[in-house]
Formats: sequence, C-alpha cells, structure tokens
Amino acid sequence: MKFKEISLKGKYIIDAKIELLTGLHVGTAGNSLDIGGVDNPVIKDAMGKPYIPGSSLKGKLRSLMEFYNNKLVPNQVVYTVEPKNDDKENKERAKSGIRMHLCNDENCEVCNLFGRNHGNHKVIINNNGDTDDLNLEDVIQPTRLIVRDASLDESSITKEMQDNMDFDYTEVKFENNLDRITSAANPRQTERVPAGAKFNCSFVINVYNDDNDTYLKEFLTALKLLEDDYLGGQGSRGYGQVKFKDIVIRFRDDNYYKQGQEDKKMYEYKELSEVKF
Amino acid sequence: MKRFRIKLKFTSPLHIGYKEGAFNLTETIIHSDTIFSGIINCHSLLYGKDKTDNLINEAINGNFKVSSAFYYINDEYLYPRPVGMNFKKYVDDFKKEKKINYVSEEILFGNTKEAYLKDNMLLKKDMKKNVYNVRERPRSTLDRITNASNIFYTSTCVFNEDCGLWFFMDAKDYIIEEIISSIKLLGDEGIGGDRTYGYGQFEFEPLEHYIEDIKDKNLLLSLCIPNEKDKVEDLIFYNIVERGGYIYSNYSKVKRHSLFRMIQEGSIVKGDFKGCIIDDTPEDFNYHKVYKYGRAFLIPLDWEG
Ligand SMILES: [Zn+2]
Repeated sequence: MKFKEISLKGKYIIDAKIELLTGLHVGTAGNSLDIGGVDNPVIKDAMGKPYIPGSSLKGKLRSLMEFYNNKLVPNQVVYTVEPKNDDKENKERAKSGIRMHLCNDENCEVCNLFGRNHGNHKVIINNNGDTDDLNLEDVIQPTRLIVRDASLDESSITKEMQDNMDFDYTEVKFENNLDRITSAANPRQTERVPAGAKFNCSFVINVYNDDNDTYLKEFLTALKLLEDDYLGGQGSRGYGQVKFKDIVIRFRDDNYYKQGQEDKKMYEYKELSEVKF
Repeated sequence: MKRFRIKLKFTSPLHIGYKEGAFNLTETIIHSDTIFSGIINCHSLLYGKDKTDNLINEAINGNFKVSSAFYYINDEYLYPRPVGMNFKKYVDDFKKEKKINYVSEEILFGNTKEAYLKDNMLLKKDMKKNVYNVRERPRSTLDRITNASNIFYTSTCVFNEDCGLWFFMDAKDYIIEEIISSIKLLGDEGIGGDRTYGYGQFEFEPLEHYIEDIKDKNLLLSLCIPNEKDKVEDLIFYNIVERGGYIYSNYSKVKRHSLFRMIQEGSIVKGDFKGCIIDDTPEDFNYHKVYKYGRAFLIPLDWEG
C-alpha cells in the first residue's frame, strides 16, 4: 500500500449564473398529486422557490465527463444499484441496475474531480455483464469538486414573463403522451421554470499537492459539455438548455485560513466561449 | 488555557444523521467526536501529518478539547438537559417536563423565573418560529446506458435566521491559532454528510469565554469514554449511548469505527472526570492513526439533586 500525503494548496471558488434558454424541469420523485397541484412538479425550497439541487447538477456534469472521456467501457463501470431479478416494482431496474463510471486509476480525471463513492462496488468486466469486486482502497482521496444548490435569481423573472406564468415562478405545460402499445392518450401536466430565468450557482475545486489548474480545466470542459446537452428532465423535448454567464473564478490559498489573507480574483468571463486554457 | 465559545452560523443545509444507513434525520446536534475529527482532518490538510500528530498529542494531554455543539437562538445558548434535574416549576405538567432535552443557559446558571417550552427546548424567551426545519430531498442516480433512474431520499436540517449550533473549545495559547485556522477551513469544507453538495458549511466567530474551575458536581458537555483512572462511582446521573460511524479521513471512506459505549452529554459527574482518546486504527489501515475522541468536557453545575 502506498502512502502519498495529501496537502491542500487552495480552493478555486467559481461563481456564475445559469441562464435558461428553454424551460427547465427538475422534478421531485414520484408523482405525488397535491390538491390543486400539477402532476409533475419541480423541486422547490422551503420558501416555494424552485432551485437546482447541487446533486442534480453534479451528477449531470459527471455523466457528461464520463461519456466525453470514454469511461463507460468494461472494467470502468460499476453498479451503484445492483440489478435484482426479483424486483417487480421497477422492471427497468430489474433488467439493468444502475451503472456509472468508477475506477481505481489514480490519474482518472473524472473520479479525481467528482469523487469515488464509499461502499463496496462491483465492477462490470465484460459485455455479458459479469462482475468482479472493485478495490478502491489505494486511490481514495478527498473529493475535489463541491457543487452547491443553485438558487433562483428572482430579479431574472420579469413582469412580462410573469404575465404568461401559472405560478409565481413557474409555468405549466400540457402534454399528451401516447402509449406506444395501446395508443391510449395520457395527458400530463409538467411544471417548468420558464426560459430567461437565471440561477446563481457556485462551485469549489480543492487543489491538492501538484494539481495546479488541472481540475479547473476539466471542470470548465464539463460546463461546456452541459451547454451542448441539457439539464433536468425531458431534454429530448427541448427542455433544460442552459448557458453559463458572468463566470468569476477566485483562488483561496492556504494563507486565507492561516493568516486571514483575502482570496484573489483570477479570471472573469462573460461567457464560456471566452475561456482559453 | 483559554476557552472559546464557537458559534456556528450555517450558510447551507446540514446533514447529520445519527444512524448511518438510515436516511431519516434523527438528530440535529453535532457530537464532540465529530467536531474533533473535523478539526483534525482540516488541520492535517493545512499543516501536514507530523504537525497534526503533535496536535493529537496535545489533545491526549488535555491541552486541547472540545464539547459537543448545541443550539443557540440569537444570544440565548442551550445546554443539554442535566440528567435527573427537575424543571417542574417552569412547566405546567410532568408530561411537558419529560419532553425537555435542552435548557437555556440563563435558566441553568442565571436567575430567570419564567421559561417557555419550545418543542424539546426550555427557553428564556418565547419563540414563535422553529429553530430549524427538516426537509426531505429527493436524490437520483441515472443509469448511464438506459437513463433509468434510482431515487432515494435524504433529510437535511436548515437553521432559521439567527439560529445555529455552538460549542466550547479549550486550548493552550501556542496552538490556538492553528486550531482556529483549521475550524475556518472546516467551515468551507463542511461538517456532517453530503459535503460534496456544499452541505454543513458555516461561518463563525471565536468568542473568548471565562473558565470556571470544576466543582463537586459537573455537567458533561461532550460524549465521554472513561479512562482507567476515572471512577464509575463518580457518575452521579448518567446516560450511555452507543456510537460507531464511519472514520472521517482524507484517505479512507469505507472504514468504520469500532462500536463504543459512551457517556452522554447532560450526565452529571463528581470531580475531575477526564475521559480519554482511544487508538481505534483498524488492523488493515496504514495511512495514519485513527482515534476515537472521548475526552470529558465539564463545567460546574450548582444544583442540589
Ligand atoms: Zn475513474
């Protein structure tokens, strides 16, 4: 077993706005039907304001980086939820389980930035889905990326937008899904945050040992990938197209903690296309 | 030795579950062993392993100790209800009296005549709003190939404005600066679960606090594992709790602590009960030593009981 001491060199603090180019639907689990509510509501905070959970944002960025870096291949994919053949409640899960990338390569840019989950994992070793135990003991490091919940910037909801909305911060879309087999119509309402709304988002990247700006670059690539993809549900219907704006990157070195120094503003971009690393 | 009251103002939700594996939130205070590990880990990130070993030695020698963290509401500080102490004169009936788990500093040490019961807290001032709210959050993982999702729930605690948690920290002058820097980093790293989503982050101000010598009867403000010299007959009123949990380390996430039986906050002990810090390094773990923090944090309590 090798031991490499981990020392914190500092933290990049990245603040930005997420602007919605199309409506966003980040749903709650299940379809609990509140009286007078819609059947597919968006997630809201205690004050009834929609927000984007850090876990959704982080999960999406991670999965995009897994695809981009070609990490979804045998020996690099694990079951986070193992398939259960007797699971009658969830047929989809019974067939497949929940798979994601996780590996013990100490140089893996995805695992090093987004973290390695605890617990014991079964790694899928071939296309038949056979598995083996995955030992992560030698590569555990603290997760570098922290993704906070993104809160709605209320001032981005204009008077004009409000006139076309059903609730204080959201609109409701009616959709008619056809059952592919019976052709029965299944009308549904979906709540979404309207295009034009902005969220304040904030990220932290810990810099360890000789990382320098390696993981900052990886992270900015992930943001670019998200702009070409979508956030939240129903992306194939055009929902959840986003753009990052007013990106400010600060650096907080260890003297911020030891000697009370201020953090330093390192980069400022109006949008991601200005980023040249 | 100096004593500080560290008042944590949380800037994000807090996820502190008592039983790991169960996703419902059963407890919202932070125990001394969790605070100690959090500080030690941040110290190691900032100052390196050797200096951190020194700090742990200072703690073993009693030159650095922490209490558990309890609620505050504005400038009103709560303490764990002393085991066996009677508060009937403040509430109407014994059913309500039984509910009390936390008591205001001014009721315990001041001469307040009136008191109000808010949930399980006995307060000096009447309090309309909740100290904290617990919210369930759906979380999902997407299967990367089929897009099927797996949804589960976690509970988080969000403190109301002007409410949060506070703890005591005692330290010798020459290590105070390092410890305060480590707590500052802990505020940015977060304490408790789901730190990767920015949970458990806080701001704080160390407020210097007077130290009173312990007396015949003392209130325990931390979890405590008795050392071999501590006498069991010195435990006047006490509760025992079992604590396990994951090891809080930069180098491992999957190892668990051994199960310890610990004396709970709010117990009453006679004289100088010290407790101890136990080497709990798992057999196949070679990165660094792992300790279970069980030193007693005591304050005198004048009370005929
Ligand atoms: Zn990997």
